[in-house]
Amino acid sequence: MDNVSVNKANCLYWLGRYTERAYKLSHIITEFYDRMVDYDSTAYKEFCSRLGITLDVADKESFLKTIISDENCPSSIKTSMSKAYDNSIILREQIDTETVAYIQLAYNNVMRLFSDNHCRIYDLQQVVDNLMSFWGAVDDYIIDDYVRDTIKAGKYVERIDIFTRFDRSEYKIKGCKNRLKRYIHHLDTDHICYDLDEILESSVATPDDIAACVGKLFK
Amino acid sequence: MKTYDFEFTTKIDFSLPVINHNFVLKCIPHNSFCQMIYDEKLTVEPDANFTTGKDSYGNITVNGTILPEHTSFMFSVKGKAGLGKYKIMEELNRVYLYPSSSAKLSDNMIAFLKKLSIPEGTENTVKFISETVYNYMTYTKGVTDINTTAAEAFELKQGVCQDYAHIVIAFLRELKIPARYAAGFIEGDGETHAWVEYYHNGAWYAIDPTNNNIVDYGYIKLSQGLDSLGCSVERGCFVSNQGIVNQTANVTVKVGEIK
Amino acid sequence: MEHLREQKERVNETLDRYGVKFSLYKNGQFIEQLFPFDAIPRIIKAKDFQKLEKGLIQRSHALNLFLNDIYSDKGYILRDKIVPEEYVYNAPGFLPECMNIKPPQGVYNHISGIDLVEAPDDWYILEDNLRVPSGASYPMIARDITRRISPETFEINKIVDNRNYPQLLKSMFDDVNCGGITVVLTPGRYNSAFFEHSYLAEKTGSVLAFPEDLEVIDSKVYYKTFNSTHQRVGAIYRRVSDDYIDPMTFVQDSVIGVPHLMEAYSKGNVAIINAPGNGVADDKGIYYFVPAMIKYYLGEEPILKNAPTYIPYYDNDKKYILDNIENLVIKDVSEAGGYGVIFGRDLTNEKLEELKNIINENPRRFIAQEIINFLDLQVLSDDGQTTVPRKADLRAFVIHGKDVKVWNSGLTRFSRNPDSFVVNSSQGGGFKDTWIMYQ
Repeated sequence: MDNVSVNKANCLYWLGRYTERAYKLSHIITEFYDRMVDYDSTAYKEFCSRLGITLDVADKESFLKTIISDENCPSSIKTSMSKAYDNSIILREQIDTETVAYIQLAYNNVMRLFSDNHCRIYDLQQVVDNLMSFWGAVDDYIIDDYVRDTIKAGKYVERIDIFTRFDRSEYKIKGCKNRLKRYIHHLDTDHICYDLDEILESSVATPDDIAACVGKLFK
Repeated sequence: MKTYDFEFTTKIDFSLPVINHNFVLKCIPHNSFCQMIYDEKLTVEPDANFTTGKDSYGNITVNGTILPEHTSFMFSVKGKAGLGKYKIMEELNRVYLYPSSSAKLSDNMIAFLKKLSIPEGTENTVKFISETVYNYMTYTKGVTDINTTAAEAFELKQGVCQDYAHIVIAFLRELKIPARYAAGFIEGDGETHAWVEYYHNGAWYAIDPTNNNIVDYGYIKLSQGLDSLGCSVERGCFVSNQGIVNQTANVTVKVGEIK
Repeated sequence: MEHLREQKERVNETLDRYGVKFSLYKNGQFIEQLFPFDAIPRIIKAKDFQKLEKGLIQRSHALNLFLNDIYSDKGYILRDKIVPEEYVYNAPGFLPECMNIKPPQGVYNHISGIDLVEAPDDWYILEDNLRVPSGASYPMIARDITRRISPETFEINKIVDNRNYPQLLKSMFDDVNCGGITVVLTPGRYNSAFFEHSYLAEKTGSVLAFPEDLEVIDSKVYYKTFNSTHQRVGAIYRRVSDDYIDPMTFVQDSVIGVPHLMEAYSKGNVAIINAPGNGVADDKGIYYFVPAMIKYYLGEEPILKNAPTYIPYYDNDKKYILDNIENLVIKDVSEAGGYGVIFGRDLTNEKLEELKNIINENPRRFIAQEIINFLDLQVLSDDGQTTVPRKADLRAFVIHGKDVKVWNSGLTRFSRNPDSFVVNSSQGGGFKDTWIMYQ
């Protein structure tokens, strides 16, 4: 990363984390909303406790509205997309205007589709589609492997965190850890994250420990 | 020609540790028509990477950076100066005929100037203005600072050498006599000093309004400029992660003639 | 062009997608707004543009020679009394810190944004912007989008492509670069033109740098990278104003500057684009003298006209101003806290007399101009069904590297209000593409 400053490396990493947060949580929100439709009307409580947040909501509609478009909710899709956007526009010449445009589109769609009181879970699909296009653009437009791998390191740190919180299978989490390991091995030429392998293998290490270890590289 | 030994030390103490400290020093006298500097030696502490350069007035600059944390900053220059009678032959840069940020007339100063009966001839005018300002002002330390303008000091009727110089410069320029600010040392003085250079018949001459005398020998010049802003001996910016930093500076100057 | 007009919605959608925005602060809040785009272009015929091009190149040359002259210790144009000294040395834009510094390749005004208006008889120059003129990215991206949305428009009309602006910039960067990479220095994410900073960095293959990314070591500028290497920087396209560019030389508590940058620059180790100190040449007072500069330095007649201007410094002009004040527009040259722009026709007799007295007492402070009745351009109404006439100007971009080139386009800004002459984006104005035709 010849022309990437410390600050931009940090932005790349967080771009990966925030886009993944918006993307994966969209899936999980859809899942919980589905439960709330008929047999488990207070499933949002479980959602909040797994994420370690408190939401002032009473039913599935207010849950949907808050978790998607409330800018005061730190875990909302809007908050994540707004932070992803803030990071992306600093990175235009690293990731290409076309790539930035998909973040912009996803953000615009959150604003456009969820600004009134009649949120439709279905509309979240448009945001997810934009984010999928973003990942396609990341693979297609970014030439510098280090730049791409930094975004992906952020993505997998975030995914490990979300998968662990929502009890996804060991098999899936293991897969994420392997990918993260590969990216960091490539990026970390100065062995700043020398203890990452050990942390990833450890049964007591938490996603926070992993994030803290990888975070050292982008400080 | 007279020869002098000089030694100039400034030590700045910071009330809190600072990092990323950038500085520009104009503390090394330069050679001119009437000033020869030799055996000069600069010391900076803590140890710093620095380069020397020249500013737009022709002054020597020392440009450096100290990245690690430190709580004090010291620089010291010593050397020898051979001084001829004060006179610098050079082509005039006409910018010195116009007001500058710190040497600008106020309405009160214009009114004051209008009431004076100014004698004919550049030298007489300069002497008269210097004397007038010397009599008008009272030398008082601590009432003005490095950012005080001529107009502000004129209202206070008090100040130090910098203020005397600014007021005289502003008046002379208004009278179409090119004038510039000079900073440096004088014999026996304990600190840095400032005086005024004026242009006459193809050369710069100097007058010291603070002491009300024509300058001939014994003035070692560090820098010159439109006003004091171009002649700051030390200018710095730094970062502190612990709060607002107070600075206290300790300056010593020793100048003695070698006989 | 009908087809393009019908695509208004689609154009706006696409502009939105690419985040073509400018930012501003309203009531202390940072907001980003789309810069409203009007699909009807300003059209300039080849023959007319050729004349503009020649005139703009001539003007840019003369302004550059002027800056070289006054910042050297010679100041020939002042000694020869073509320009009165006090108009230079008293100007707020004259920076004594830049005296005796020779910029790389002797270029000061690498990018000039020259504002013109078209009147029924001819084009007139309103203002030169030689500091950090902005706005070129908007017509660039608008062209890209309109070509995609309405290719037939560009098939039928023979329009010179304007998407070469990044190449013009890049080749100028290379001409003045002192060895190393070129960076676009932005004051930060919250600057009103941040979109443009990042877009131009990308399109010119430069590196977008924030002040903290740059460092001066041994009088050379370096870009600090992630893997703790230092990339030498040979040219800085800075979008930070002079005052804030180096806390060691200018405003001391600037946090958006690069300490010791001026030292590296004065030693010829880095090009600063545009050069510091240019403000003296785009001063409203100096504007009056540009035609005289062209004659003095180039020995040529000015090809483009200034708006007829008078300065009370000269007795003849003063008499004319005082006799005709009700037909003139009076501009206060002392920028901050001044009278701004006054139309004589809007004042009561009493106020006119007052103004005359002030002009008499402070001749250096004002300029007066004939009011130019510049042409309206047609702008689509909000519903897209009809068009309405609006005042518009044109900012031409002149790029000065080894050669001087005029970009085959420009930023046409129009006012959103029918009675307004104000075309600034921050005042709610919009922009149009500018088509230079092959015929």
